[in-house]
Parts: sequence; C-alpha cells; structure tokens
Amino acid sequence: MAKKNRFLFIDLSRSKTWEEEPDGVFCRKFLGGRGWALPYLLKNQKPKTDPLSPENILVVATSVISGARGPAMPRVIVCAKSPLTGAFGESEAGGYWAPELNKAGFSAVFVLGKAPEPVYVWIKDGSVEIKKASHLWGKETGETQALIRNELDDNRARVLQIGPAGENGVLYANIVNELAHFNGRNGLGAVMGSKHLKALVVRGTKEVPVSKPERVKEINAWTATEGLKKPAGELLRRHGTLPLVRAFQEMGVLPTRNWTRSIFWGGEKISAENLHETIYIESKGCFACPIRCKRRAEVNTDKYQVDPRFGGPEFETVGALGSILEIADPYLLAKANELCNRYALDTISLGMTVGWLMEAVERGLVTPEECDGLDVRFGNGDVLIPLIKKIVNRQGIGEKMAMGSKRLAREMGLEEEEFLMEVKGQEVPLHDPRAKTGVGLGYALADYGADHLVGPHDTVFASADGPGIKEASGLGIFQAVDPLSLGPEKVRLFYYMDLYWRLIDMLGFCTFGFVPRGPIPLEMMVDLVRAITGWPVSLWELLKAGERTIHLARIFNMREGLSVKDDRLPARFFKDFEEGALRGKGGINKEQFEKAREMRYGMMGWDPETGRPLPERLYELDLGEFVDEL
Amino acid sequence: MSGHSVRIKIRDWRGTEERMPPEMEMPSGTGLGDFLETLPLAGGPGYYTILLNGRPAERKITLQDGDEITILPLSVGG
Repeated sequence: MAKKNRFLFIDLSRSKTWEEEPDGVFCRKFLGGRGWALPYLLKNQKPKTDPLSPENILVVATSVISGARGPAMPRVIVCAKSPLTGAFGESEAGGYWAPELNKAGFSAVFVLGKAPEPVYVWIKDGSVEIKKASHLWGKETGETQALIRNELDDNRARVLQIGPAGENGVLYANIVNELAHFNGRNGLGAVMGSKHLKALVVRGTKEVPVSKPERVKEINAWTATEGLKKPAGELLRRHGTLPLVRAFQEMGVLPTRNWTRSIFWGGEKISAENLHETIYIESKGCFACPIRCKRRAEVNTDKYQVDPRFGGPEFETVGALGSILEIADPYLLAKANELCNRYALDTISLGMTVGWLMEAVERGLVTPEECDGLDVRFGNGDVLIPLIKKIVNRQGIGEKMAMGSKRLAREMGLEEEEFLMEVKGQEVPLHDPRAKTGVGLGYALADYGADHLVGPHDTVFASADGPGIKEASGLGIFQAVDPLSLGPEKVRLFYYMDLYWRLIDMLGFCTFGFVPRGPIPLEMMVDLVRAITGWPVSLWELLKAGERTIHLARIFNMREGLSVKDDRLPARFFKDFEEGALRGKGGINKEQFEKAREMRYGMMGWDPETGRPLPERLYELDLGEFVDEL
Repeated sequence: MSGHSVRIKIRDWRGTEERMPPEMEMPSGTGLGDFLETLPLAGGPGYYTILLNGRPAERKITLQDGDEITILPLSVGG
C-alpha cells in the first residue's frame, strides 16, 4: 500500500484550516514541490500580487515519495512569489521536517492570508492548531525552537521557522528547520513573516506506507555501502562542499573582492583543511541519508563563541563572506554564519550586498557617512557583524541593505554601475560562469533568479571518463562538452539537465545523492519512485513532469511582467579574468550568450524573440488548461 | 630510472585518506592521460579537475621533466 497525499490549507486571516485530497492523476502528473505549487498559484493568485501582502500564497510542500525511508530524499520545498525577484520563488532545504510532515499525515501545506497577530501552527498526527506566537516574535531561531518544544512538551517536534530577518521583512530572509537546514534565497522568510507566521511545527508518529518496502531498504543499503565508495559520496561525507575553495583558488576562479579578482590572498585560511583545523567539529546529515555532508562549527575564543547547533559555514557562505569581502578569519566567518542562522538570513545575498557596498565606497561613490560612519572596505572584518545586525534590525544603512544589492544600488542612484552582481534581483552565487558557461545559462534563465543549484555544473561533463558521461548518459548526453563552450551542444546539455534537476527538486531529492553529482544511479532513482508509490513510472514520464514546471514557472513570470531582458547576466561576466588559469579567454562572449539563449528558447518551444511558451508546446505537455494564462 | 625518464611533481588535493606520492618518475614521452591512468584515482581521472602547471591541459600532451600536476575535486557546486 502506498501513501495517500493530503494537502493542508491554512487561512490565517480567517483562522480556518481544512484538508483536501488531490486526485491521483494530479499527484502523478506534478509529483510534488513546485509541481504542486505552480498550478495552484496560477489558478488562485492574481498577477502582480504584492509578495508581502496577505494575497501572496505560501506553499510548503514535499512530494509523492517524501516520508519514506529512502536515501537523499529529505527535502522540503517552499514556493511563493519572491519579494526579492518579483518572480516565482522556490527554495529547497534538507533536514527532518519534510518526512515528519508526512508522518503527521500531510504532503503539503498551503498558507493563505495573514494572521492579525503572530502565530505558529502545530500539526500533530492529523490534527491542526493555530497557536499564539506574540511571545516568540523577535526571538532568534534557537530560542524559538526551545520555547516551542518546551510549551508543546515534545522535544521531537520539528520546527520550521523564520527568525528576526523574516519578521522584519529583510528581502533575503530564510526559513530554517532544525536550526541548520535552510530554505535560502528568494526571501521566502519575508513572505512567511508578512503573514505573521512564526513557525510550522510538525510531529508525526505514523509510518508512511510504501508500496515495496524491501526494495527501498535495498537501495538504502546500497547507498550506505557501494554509494559511499564513489568519489562524490566519499568527498561529500569527508569534507562537505568546502573542497571547492581550494579547487577554485588553484584554477584562479574563486570569486574575490566583489568579483574583481579570482585569486584570494587569504585562500589558504579559508580552505577546507584549515577550516577543519580551526572551526569544524563534526558532520551531520539529513533524514535517512548516509552521506552526512553538513558541517558543524564550534568556537570558544575570547573574541567569538559559536554554538554548533547552528551548523557551520558551507562553501557558499565561506565564499560570500570570505573571499568576496576579503575576510580570511575562520573564527569570524563561523560567527557571522552563526548569526545569520540565528536570524535566518541568506548568506549569499548578504555577502554580495556587503561586497557591492564595499566596492561603492572604495570607488568613492558612497561616503562613510552614508554607511553610518562604519569603515566599510574590503578586508575589514570588523564591519561584518555590525552590518548584519543593522540589516536584520533595519537600522541606518541596514534599512537599504535589507532590500538586497539591486534595490540598495537603486537607492544610491548607482543601479547602472557595472559592479552590481545580480540576476532578476537575486545576488549571484560563488561559481564563476566564465569558467562554467552552463552555470551562466542557469543563472540567466532560472525562473527564480541566479542560483548555483539550478542544474549540474559543466565540469561534470568535461571529459568522456567523467561522471556526467559515464554515469548519467541515460539522460542522453554521450560526448564530453567543453566547460567554456556556448554552442548548441552546451544548450542541449543544459536543456536536458534542467528537466532532470527540476525533477530532483520536485521529488524532494537532494542533488548530492544522485548522478551525476552524487552516487545513486538513474535506474535506482526511478526504481525508488516506483517502490514507494507503486506506480510503474519511467524516466521519460518523470522528466516530462519536470519539464511541465519550467513552462508553468515561465507563464507565472510573464504574468508578473518579466521578459527576455530579465534572462541576462551581470556585465562583469562578459569581461576577461584579471588573473588565473583562464585569463586571456576573454570572459563570456556576449553575442554567443545571446544566441545560446535564443536557441534555448527554441528548444523549449518558446518564441525565440519573446521567450513566451507556444500553445502547442503547452498542449504537448498536457498543460492546455494554462494556455489562457499567456 | 635514469636518463630516459622525467620527474613529475604531484599536488594531491582530493581530500581522501590515501595520498599520492609528491613526486613520480615516468618514462620520457609519457602523455598526461597515460600518466593519470597509472594513478590510483577512485572512479578514474574524469572524476577530478586536473591542472598541469596550474592550467587545464589536454590529456594527449607529453609530460616534461619538472611538470607539476594538481589533482582537485571536480568543481561541481554545492
């Protein structure tokens, strides 16, 4: 017997809750995550809705397979219109919350309206209660979780919450579960805060029924043994994502000093090896996952104390707050990371926003007085913690910085300057698209703004004996593709990967678990879906489900007024590197990029000039009911 | 080996327990790809970023005495 998917609706304005059971065809056709969110948003939310208004619907979803004890499938997917980008917003997080929601009897929560006063929602084994949270409002995530568990008298209650950043409407506020697993990017924490919703707390004691439990067990056992022997599995388990610091530094592609340089003088100090010697104490994992890639940091010096409950900085944080700002103090990075996690604040957008300000000050375009007298310049770590606090509390310069780098630049009259590093208003992550052009296409075309997890990275497919070709050729890529090319072969590769990555995200899978990024093979992934749901699915059918959501998100974004001009890259990526192994390659060729974008539209079945999905493509995908939304 | 060999330096940043020797001798005329095949790289060379003297290089290139090979994890995001 497989599980039944039930959706929980919470109308905070009317303090009402109800349940709906979606039909099986809908569940199989859209699978979960963004697949469940997008049809609902398109049908029930008016275009141009203010993302911080009660009318913006927040969807906290899992999938048709969530809750089963399979490997690398712990993720909770949050969707809403993003206040940072004005586009469809989406973010996934690992941890334990998604399985717990399913054990409590639900597969997704749709949050409507706005509570008159702060509340949290307590979901336990099918019962739902809206509880007052005024006493929790303003508190950091650690204290909030402890207070909620205490008042519920349940230490195993799973708390998905916002921190002060979300309450105060910081446009890059996160949502967090278990204090260290973040729905980052897109500012969805601010959406939750705008609804006066402090937390969704779940506890479930019922096992999630699975069609073929023995097969799920076998796949779990394989992952914990054979899977961990594979290079990707072993590396993630031993070092998490941190080895990227040295890899990028050695190649001269480590984003440094707001992307003006690509080799950081302090690179050694923020390397995986040094961070393990100085701040990391252990690794932790997510529900039923043997890889355990998450780092935990602890610091006890005279200057800084860091609590390991809040995890530890991953690569993106080390880059955004380290090399981008030229800060090489591991203890400060650990403390800044902990503070961001206490406040539930996105570290990538934070780093890029501070980096933009540092460059603006150093160029003489912004005065120290405009920075509240702080000595905001690259390498001065003393300003980092004061700036974080100003942003979260929206004080002084922090009021403007809380809106992200694009709005900050606009407020300062500097939006046209070339050193603004964002796409669709979202700050770019720490992977230089001049070294991986497919990542650049992903930054430009992702419906939710620049993001490094929108697809795999080019290097996986760089050689015929690499994991992309050897282990994922079942996706239809048979030959190596040069990481620097922007020809049809690259466009095709990333078109296929977009379908696959959307599928991974929709199902609540972790990209670190599955080929080509992780160890679990394609056929085992399909088998896992079959074993859990009992449906005789094929890879083709699953990829089609992923494809549907790309078109639905495109329709959503076009309704919001986004267009081809938003599928772009920051100007700095069209210039050559100043140093490193790729200096002299000239950066991304703008003409090639624009041709690649047009070709991608064509492959998608979108109008090459307007980027608008063509009706026949929507009919092919069984999305005819959305043609009129165009 | 003597006159008909080249010394290759290895910088191993894979982060695994097993470490490569810092230097190896190979017959003169050995190509980068052939050299990499002799190394105990789990999964094979394609699972790593390989730099020759600090830059990406084609596997067919012939190694020279004193060349330095850097072995890094694939820069695959995360």
